Amino acid sequence: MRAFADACIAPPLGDLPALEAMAETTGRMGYGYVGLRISPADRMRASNLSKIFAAHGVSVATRLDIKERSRHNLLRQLRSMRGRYELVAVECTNTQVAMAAARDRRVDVVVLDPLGRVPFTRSLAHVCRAALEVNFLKFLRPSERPLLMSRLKGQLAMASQNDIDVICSSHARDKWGMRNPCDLAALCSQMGLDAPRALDAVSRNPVSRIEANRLRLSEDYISEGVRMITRGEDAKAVAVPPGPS
Amino acid sequence: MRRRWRYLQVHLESDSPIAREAFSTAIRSSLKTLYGEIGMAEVDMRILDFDESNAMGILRCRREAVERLRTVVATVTEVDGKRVLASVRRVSGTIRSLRSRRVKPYVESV
Repeated sequence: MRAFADACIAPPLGDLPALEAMAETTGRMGYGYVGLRISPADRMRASNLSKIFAAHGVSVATRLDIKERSRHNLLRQLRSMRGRYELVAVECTNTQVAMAAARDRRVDVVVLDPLGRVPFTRSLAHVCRAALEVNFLKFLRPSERPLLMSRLKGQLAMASQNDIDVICSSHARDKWGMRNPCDLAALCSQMGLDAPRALDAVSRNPVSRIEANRLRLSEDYISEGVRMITRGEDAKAVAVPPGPS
Repeated sequence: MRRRWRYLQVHLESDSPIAREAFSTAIRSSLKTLYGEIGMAEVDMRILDFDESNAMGILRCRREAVERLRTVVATVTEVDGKRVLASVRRVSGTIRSLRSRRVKPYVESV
């Protein structure tokens, strides 16, 4: 059985009953992971929030959404924040930022608003290493839906042509915004993804990123492809980096 | 050619009770908004059952239109002015299996 993940929920962190309700709903819907959008100022509360979700069998991955106007600021944010979050998403406000985010391997998710100014062009898709996110919350506004669907179909077709992973997330702010993973996958398949890719958008793609980042953030991680598997004397000698002398 | 049907068990979660007519109006309106009248004809949806006590309904649609109907259910946010969380619990090829089995968890094995 697949492990499902909602890569972005943004609950009000101070509202404990709302958080409890969301945790209960995510557990009941069969999610194994959720990406909890949390600002750097609130990051200390992440462990308490994780406990609430863990009680319902859901593992919480901390998620940072970076929204910067220049490439320089984006890179500065990535330098300081990458090591603290399990998922890093970049909201692309202009082409320069979009290009930098798509190229940078520290970015997990690229958020391109289909109704925004930055198109998902062939040149952007060609260099994109991150996954492209579909924000379900935007579908709940009927007035914007026709244009949104038309542009999103174009984005997903471009993603499929260039073999870019797609992630579909609810961006729910309360339990009423949450959706069953199979219903989110159905939406992706209606937007032109084939059935296996649509299911991967709510399972394999977000889960693999969360797991890979957890491994990187763990103290056992040494470098790409190398991790400490035992903590004996021999292992210590390999793992400790050479000192200044 | 013989038509093939699929039956969807739909659950609405809400703070207050929901009437069958309100459920029907919400689903049909969402279907029409999303796919239009031609889409409605292609999906050929019927509401076969709605249990007001547990807000559980059974919808029927063409086999080819299951994903469309799932999307329609996912876009329902309000019924009769009340906020709801609508989700498809199960999809089956026979209505008997939906009625005979108890309510299962949200996610089917895929």
